[in-house]
Amino acid sequence: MTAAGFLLPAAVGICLFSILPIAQALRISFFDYSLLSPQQTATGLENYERAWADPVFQIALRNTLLYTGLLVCVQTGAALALALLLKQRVAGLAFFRSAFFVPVVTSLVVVSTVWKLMYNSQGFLNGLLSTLGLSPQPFLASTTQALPSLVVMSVWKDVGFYMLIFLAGLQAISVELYESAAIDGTTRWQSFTRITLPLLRRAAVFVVVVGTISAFKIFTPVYLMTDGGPADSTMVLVFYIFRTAFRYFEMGYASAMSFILLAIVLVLTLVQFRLLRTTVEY
Amino acid sequence: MTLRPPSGVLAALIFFLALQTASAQQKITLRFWMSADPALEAAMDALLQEYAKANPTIAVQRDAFPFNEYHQKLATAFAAGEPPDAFWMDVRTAAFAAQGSLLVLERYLTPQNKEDIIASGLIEPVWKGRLYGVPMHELTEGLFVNRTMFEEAGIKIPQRLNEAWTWDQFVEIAKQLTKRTGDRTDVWGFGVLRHLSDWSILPILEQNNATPLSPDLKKATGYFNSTAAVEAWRWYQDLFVKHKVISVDPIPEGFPAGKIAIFQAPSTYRAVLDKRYPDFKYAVVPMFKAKRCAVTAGGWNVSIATRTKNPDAAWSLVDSLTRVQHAAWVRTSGYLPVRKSLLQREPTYRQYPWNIFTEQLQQCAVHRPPTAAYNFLFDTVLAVAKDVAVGRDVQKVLDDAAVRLDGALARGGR
Amino acid sequence: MPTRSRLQRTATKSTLYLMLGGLTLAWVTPYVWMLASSLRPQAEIFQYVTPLSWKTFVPQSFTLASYRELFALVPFPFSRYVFNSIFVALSVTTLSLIVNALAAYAFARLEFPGRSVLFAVFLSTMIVPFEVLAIPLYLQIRSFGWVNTYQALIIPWIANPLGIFLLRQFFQEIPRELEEAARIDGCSYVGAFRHVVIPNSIPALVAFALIRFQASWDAFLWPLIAAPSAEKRVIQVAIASFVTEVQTRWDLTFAASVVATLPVAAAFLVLQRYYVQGVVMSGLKG
Repeated sequence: MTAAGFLLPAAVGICLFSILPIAQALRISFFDYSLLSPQQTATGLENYERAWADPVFQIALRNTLLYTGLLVCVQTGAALALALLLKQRVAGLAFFRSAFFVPVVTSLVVVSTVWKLMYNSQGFLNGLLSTLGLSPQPFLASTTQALPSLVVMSVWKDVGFYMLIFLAGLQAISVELYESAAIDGTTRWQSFTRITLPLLRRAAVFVVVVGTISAFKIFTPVYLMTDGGPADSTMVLVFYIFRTAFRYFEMGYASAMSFILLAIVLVLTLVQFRLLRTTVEY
Repeated sequence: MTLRPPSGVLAALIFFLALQTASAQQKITLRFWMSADPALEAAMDALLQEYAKANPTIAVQRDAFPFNEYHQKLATAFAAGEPPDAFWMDVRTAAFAAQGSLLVLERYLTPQNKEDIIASGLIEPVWKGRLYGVPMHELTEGLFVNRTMFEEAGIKIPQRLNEAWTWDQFVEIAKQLTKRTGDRTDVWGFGVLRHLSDWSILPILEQNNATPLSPDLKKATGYFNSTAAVEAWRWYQDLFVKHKVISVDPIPEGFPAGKIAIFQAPSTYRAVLDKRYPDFKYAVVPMFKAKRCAVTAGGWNVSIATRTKNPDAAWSLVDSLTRVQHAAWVRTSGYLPVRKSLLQREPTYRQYPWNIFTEQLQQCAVHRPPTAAYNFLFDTVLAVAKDVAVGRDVQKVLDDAAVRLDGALARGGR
Repeated sequence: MPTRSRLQRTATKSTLYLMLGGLTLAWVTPYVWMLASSLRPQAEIFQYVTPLSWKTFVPQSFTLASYRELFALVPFPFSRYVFNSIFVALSVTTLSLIVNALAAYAFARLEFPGRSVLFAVFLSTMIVPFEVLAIPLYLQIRSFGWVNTYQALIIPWIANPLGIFLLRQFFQEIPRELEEAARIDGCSYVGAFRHVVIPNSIPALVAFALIRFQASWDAFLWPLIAAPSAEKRVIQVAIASFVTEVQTRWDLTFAASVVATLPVAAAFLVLQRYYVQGVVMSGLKG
């Protein structure tokens, strides 16, 4: 009974403001529900069938998977690399750590706005390139560069957070392990692959799983910087759903797509947990 | 941006009026929404102040939202059953009217009132033959040119509608004024304020006698991808890809910074240049033409929600803003008049440079298709424009877009 | 470990610092550009970008005009939006701390039937993107009469499954003996919670508070939908409004961005230590 007391406020909040709306949204997905009209006609699975056949939905799905894959790989690698760098008993560790972390606590709206201008053909990055004697790049105006440009910005913003996770993971590894390995004559590369990496598995799981879920939900940068273009090259799921709901006012279809998105994320997360599951202790 | 009467004074004024009349009469509160822009909001507040003086029993609560989110906010408010009483509405009238959200205004509009409005102003607020809004102003585009660059290059600046450049002439001049160093372009011959939007591109299609949709607004195939449309889009693509006179990315502040020679912008851009760059020398030039001249015309209308509890009071507000105070609004906002009486009364609008805009308004105006699926059309044109600007095959892009549009039109035409 | 010469070690150390220095520059430069751009007239912002020089980062005609204009806007100066953001974020943070810590403790220490199932249910709601919930949530808020109120901006964000997860991880690390000792002395669960668990969880609590504050500060879509009126508007929405029909006010946008970034960055820099300890520990042991 005490438990109920402790849990009540949170439970009420989650029920009222998460679970109930999810159920409502599920219900709406089986209707032809226009935001402007009071009438709703039940259409069964029509919205889901429509998503299956919708070329834009497929493009959005492909782009979202591409973005997520690219981002998680680059971000995880970069976070690990940075953590390893900072681990080398560096003076002023706190300063460097802060520098990488400030973007994490800067709002995505501000970051997107500033980077939009940085990527502009008259913007900072092209200025840098031309000063170095390189040719200017289209960045967000190119069908091939736009999505990677968003990845770069996201890595810049969030890598500090994941770097912290890895840093702590590294610090938790007992120094004696390395020392005894050294006595046994292991090379540094070997001690990295046989000691460091396995013991970082827990941190890696966190970084990869949280990174994946977060990447899948990408919205604000596309909304503020590219509008899904050029040529739908940055059209991603949440943006397409948002547009369907708030620009074309088709709530039923938008809800159906949201649930498909939800299902995909769930599957991905479970798969990742399975693959990365381990308790490695020495 | 100058300071306007502080909100505190306005609030105090309304509060005082409310106090005075509260005991005597029932106070009506109207909610009024508009698109956000500090200068326009300030101008609107001045109008609302006058309205409050003339209508002490009515209080107006004004709110403004960023343009990008304005229609969403309206839609959400309607969905929740809590729309504002009166609000700005544009070419998306059809979408809202189709759902029964907008009040039909015919019974309030006297024949003299209607007669006074120029034809162009009565296209967007009309849906299925009925009137759902009253225009506050008109807006159209023209070309702004860098006077210094033109004088140095010895190019004549056309100042009359019949001197407008043809497509070929325009391209030649733009190429001449584009300056490069190696890979980098220092000066672009051409730029557009409303970059890659239907507003600035549809007239180019119309100039080649292509319309985006069928006259009944139900079909796109055969119109959006007609031969004339393909031709026009290809010409536009050449500006980006072949002649390289316009940048794929918009150049912020490019025109007054001397990075763009010819700039396509709405008439309100004059006020911006005069205020923020008073030393910059520019000239206004009519839009180029092909088989015919065409410029987009449009503007904000004021509509009333069907659900409003005070339709008559709402109408009195609408009438004040669109008719009684029209001259003041046009003067302070920088928009164009939409009433014949004002155009006749004020000689300024017949003089250079205003005459370029007003003449184009009367002779070359085209309108964006007032379809209920307007947002979809807008997004499609934007996507097509981006595809075209990066060099993809025009016929294919238009064919794909036309098919998608057909689907949306079929669904959206409720 | 093979010994290395002094020279080798200095060389490695120098390369290290060089790399770190370069990377840090890459991370910090956008902020410098943003700050510099907010202190110069709009026209000058793009003048000195190509080619890049010191002039890109140092305003040639230094001016505070953007900030002055920002705080003189009508009908509401920017300070109004700053206030709204701060008020909402502080409220969310405080209430969140209380509600989620209580729930986390229940999951960490109290035995009750269906505990894991309930925990899984709570966590699963984390995966749902907000955009899925926006309209039904809005309709719900409206039925409470909360449109355009601070409640709408605060209350739906109090219960937070991720926070419960993080705090639970942390609470589980606290040695049971401490609590058991307190309970033997006659403390109830609530007492043990107050006197043992909380004081030993300061890093996690501070970290959580920082995360919640920042999430609330960063919120964009919800404030736009739920509290549209200018008097309840928050900073992120205000920044979006500088993209008007006629042209983007980059000078105001940059000034607003600087104002929007300072409080959270400052809070983080001051409380860095806690954040790092707390978040990392709960993340790892999870």
